[in-house]
Amino acid sequence: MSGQSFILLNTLCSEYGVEIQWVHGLRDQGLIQIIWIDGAEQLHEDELPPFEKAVRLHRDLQVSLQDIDLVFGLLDRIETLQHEVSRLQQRLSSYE
Amino acid sequence: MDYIDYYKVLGLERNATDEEIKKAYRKLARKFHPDLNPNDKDAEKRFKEINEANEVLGNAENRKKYDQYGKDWKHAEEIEKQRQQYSRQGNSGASQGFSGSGFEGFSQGGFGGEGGDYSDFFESLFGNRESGGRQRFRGQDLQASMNLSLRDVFHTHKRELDVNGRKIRITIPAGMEDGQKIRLKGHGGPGANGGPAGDLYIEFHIQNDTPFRRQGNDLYSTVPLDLYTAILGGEVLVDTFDGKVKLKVEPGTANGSKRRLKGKGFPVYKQEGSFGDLILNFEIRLPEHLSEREKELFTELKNLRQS
Repeated sequence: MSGQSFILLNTLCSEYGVEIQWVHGLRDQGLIQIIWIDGAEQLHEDELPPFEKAVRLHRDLQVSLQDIDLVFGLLDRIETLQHEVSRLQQRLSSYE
Repeated sequence: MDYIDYYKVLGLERNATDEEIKKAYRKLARKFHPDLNPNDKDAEKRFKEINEANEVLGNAENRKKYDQYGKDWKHAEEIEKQRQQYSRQGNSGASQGFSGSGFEGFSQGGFGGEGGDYSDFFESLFGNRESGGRQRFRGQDLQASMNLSLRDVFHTHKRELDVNGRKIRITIPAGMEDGQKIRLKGHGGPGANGGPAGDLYIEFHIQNDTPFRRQGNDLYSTVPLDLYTAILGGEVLVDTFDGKVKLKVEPGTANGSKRRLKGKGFPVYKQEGSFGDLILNFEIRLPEHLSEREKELFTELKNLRQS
């Protein structure tokens, strides 16, 4: 009896109204990991944030499956650059 | 409940076409989408407004409701009264313009944050929607099995189980069948995102190490009977599941004949004090290692029957 939180992929698809192939597409792009437990595909709770983010981008902005990876990559770069800007601003303030 | 001009939110005139609404929404959503503007509270707020405006104006039915009531929102009290009256009627019958669940295409899994995903104004018009963050998932149902003996399930008793380190005390009702399952609500896997825990299903495997055969609530057993008691009648002491009973044997009882003892069978599941029957099968045992005298007497009996 495992205490970990996994969600059946079928349940997830029906809750979010997405096709299972679409979720497989996210996995194929390395955006989420799907595991097999007791003969069924499941998603760990930790995988929910990237999954939900992908669903939102797809649903709200009609971002295609192929472009979700691109958006994720660009967002990561923005985040890195924002951290860098904050770090440099802090360093700069010490000279002022 | 401040009035929100959804047309203004999307930068549109009231006579905007569906295509114009769609276009305006897409343009603004791309600009203010929280995933594209992380940690930007203003963008998040704007996106909620834009999304809300699109939910209303992007749907012909909802746009009609909004155009009808939203403009005259000062009459909200009257509208509210109508809605309450509608609720009291048990949400049955024809729609009076405020269907709490008639909002198709509502986006799930919003962005949380302060104040939920939709304004009070929106909820007053379209009902209270599930909102305020990530989807909640019920935990997984877990399966377990437990081995018991037939004697264990003759009486209602309590058992302690260890489930994921938690001690659970369960009551096992008398009369449990082999392969029967019970459900312990909320003792399964933990829910995700604050969802409820799943259930624990326990399957019972019942081993029978008694001389009784169980069929439903009835028990079956074989009673050996000596030849003389079978022929002449008498009394025998018979084993039942919970003790012995003295049984009168009729003269001339045949091999394989049966006797039903009412209420001496197995307890009926969850029917306290109710029992099945015990069905006895008489098996006549012939005397072995006869002495010369016994043989003589049997021969005498035989001759007596033939004469």
